Amino acid sequence: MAAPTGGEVWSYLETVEEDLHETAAQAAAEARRVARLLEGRACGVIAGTPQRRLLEDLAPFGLERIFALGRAPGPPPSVEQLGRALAAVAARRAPRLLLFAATPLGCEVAARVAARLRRGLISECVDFARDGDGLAARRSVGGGRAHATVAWCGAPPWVATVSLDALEAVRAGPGDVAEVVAEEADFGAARTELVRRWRVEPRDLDLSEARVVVGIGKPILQRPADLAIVAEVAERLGAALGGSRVVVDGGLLPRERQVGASGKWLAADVYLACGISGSSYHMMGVKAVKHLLAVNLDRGAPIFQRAELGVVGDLFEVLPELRALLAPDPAAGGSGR
Amino acid sequence: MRLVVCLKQAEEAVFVRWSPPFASFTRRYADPTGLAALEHALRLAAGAAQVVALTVGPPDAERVLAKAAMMGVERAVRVWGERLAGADSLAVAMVLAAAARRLDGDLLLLGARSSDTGTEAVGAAVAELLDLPLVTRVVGIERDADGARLLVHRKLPRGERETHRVPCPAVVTIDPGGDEPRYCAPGWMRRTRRLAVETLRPEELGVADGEPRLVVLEVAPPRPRAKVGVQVAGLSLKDKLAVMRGGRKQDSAEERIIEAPAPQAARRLKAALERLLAARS
Ligand SMILES: Cc1cc2nc3c(=O)[nH]c(=O)nc-3n(C[C@H](O)[C@H](O)[C@H](O)COP(=O)(O)OP(=O)(O)OC[C@H]3O[C@@H](n4cnc5c(N)ncnc54)[C@H](O)[C@@H]3O)c2cc1C
Repeated sequence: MAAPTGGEVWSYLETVEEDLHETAAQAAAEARRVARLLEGRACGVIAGTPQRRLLEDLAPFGLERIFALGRAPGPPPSVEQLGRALAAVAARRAPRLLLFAATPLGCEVAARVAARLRRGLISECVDFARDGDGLAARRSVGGGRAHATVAWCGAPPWVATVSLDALEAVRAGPGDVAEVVAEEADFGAARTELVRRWRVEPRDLDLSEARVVVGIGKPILQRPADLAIVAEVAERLGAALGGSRVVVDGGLLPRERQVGASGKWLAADVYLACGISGSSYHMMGVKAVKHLLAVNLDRGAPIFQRAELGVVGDLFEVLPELRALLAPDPAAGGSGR
Repeated sequence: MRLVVCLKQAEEAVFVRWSPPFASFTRRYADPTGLAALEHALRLAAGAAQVVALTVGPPDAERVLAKAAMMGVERAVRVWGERLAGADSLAVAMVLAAAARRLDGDLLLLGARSSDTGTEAVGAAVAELLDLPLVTRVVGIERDADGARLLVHRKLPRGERETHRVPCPAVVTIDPGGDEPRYCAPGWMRRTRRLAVETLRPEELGVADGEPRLVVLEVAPPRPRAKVGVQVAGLSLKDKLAVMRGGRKQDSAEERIIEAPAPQAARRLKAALERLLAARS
């Protein structure tokens, strides 16, 4: 069916309203990377007709063609509809590989397409490699203690989701705008009805979900009244408030506000740790944090090893100053950030 | 109304010795997200609907079903065949879909992502195979005012939430970050003693999966992939290692850790926070 090498590698380009999702450029770069392995062509696939601006944004990532799944104007398609349309087009065009960034939407569409086409799906891939004429992917197994290298052995199109940690928006150079190929696609009807959309305020957000977290450690037990200052700093940053186990055991914060191995595992972009030593149990819960800032009296505190910015100082002096510098309520009213 | 909950015995390598002689020790446990799905089912049923626990796994997986019986399930089904050992997510989804069809449930609940392999693929594949409506990453289920449909609340990243109205039969996958499942419910002794697990083979369900779609070539110690975004070439060995481990070059201690009077320190913090908060979309 497919030539030993060559063929097309498609990356699904996720969009949010009319814009590219933050993973779209990374997904495009991944298509290029795998296409080079297979000596094939890197392509993108997108729902709707992409605007010129969007194509220019994608130009540096080296896609040769973008398949645009035409759809009637109206509300954006549901994931179910997307899966249906994508599966139909992939069956018709028979790319060798269909890649998705492992976002919630990417995972679901990938599974739907693989199920519809009865094709092999490898999830959360970390890397790809040639396997003879075919392709293999490496993924985490056994709860993360090992990596398995798995190869597709059935007919293409093969389906994969790529771990968000592995993805990288590598530029291929200035590059031309990709050729757009309009594809007829039947999205069908949606069967679930969206009744409403709402959002949870940052301070009520579960710690594992919050994008910004302020953490407080043991010193607060000596001055419990000052928890209000910490809470206010969190509020003004649009952050959720958490603490070390000592603080939770001390009764100042409820159990679900504990950060660490036996508490919540953060996935935050930013974590501000105040008066937290950085015990291994605590640090386990902040492994996935992208940027860690810390305030601690002790220059030798382990938390500083992981901190991007560390302030050696008294939190009871620094936090009131910080509170004064921050405008009240940046996130009030849920500005969509 | 009948609710069918898919449960899984998860497997985690607690210890692996890669240097010969190779040795590994694995721990098996009931996948917590599946138990969370069961908790949702039991609450929705509230004693008025039947809740059936369904698992795909070897005889040992019946421990998960016993756990389900403790929590309140009266009926349990296990499907297994030798070919399912090491099966891919689509093969598992085919078996679950066939069993769910046989059980004729009004709502099928699964964990959104199991804690060991975590593909987040099975629920969507099952819905697709059964051709049923699906809502993923669900944090709440209630009956709609009309009694026939369900109102399902789902969790999206960054605090976003959605509510969907769904006709039954339907499939939902439950978000892992929800409430703790109950430990056991009154009457658990009677239920666990009486629980007779119905066992089925994939063939009995009419699942005839053809050639394998995937093949495992190698299992090895985890290693991150080399990234090109950080130029490793010019770095010291220490920084190279830091990049390989954490993907980030460590800045020198001087600029990273500051000792300054509180107002100045607060200004540095504020500047850094503002930069980071602006950078994220
Ligand atoms: C099985 C097990 C599981 C555990 N799980 C967790 C867990 O999930 N999460 C968790 O957090 N812990 C956990 N722990 C506890 C953990 O080992 C530590 O005891 C705990 O994290 C320490 O909390 P801390 O950093 O607040 O306190 P400490 O370690 O006492 O650190 C306090 C820090 O505050 C600094 N400090 C003091 N005064 C000031 C001031 N005025 N201004 C600035 N800094 C100041 C000190 O220099 C010190 O570094 C667990 C322990 C066990 C045994």
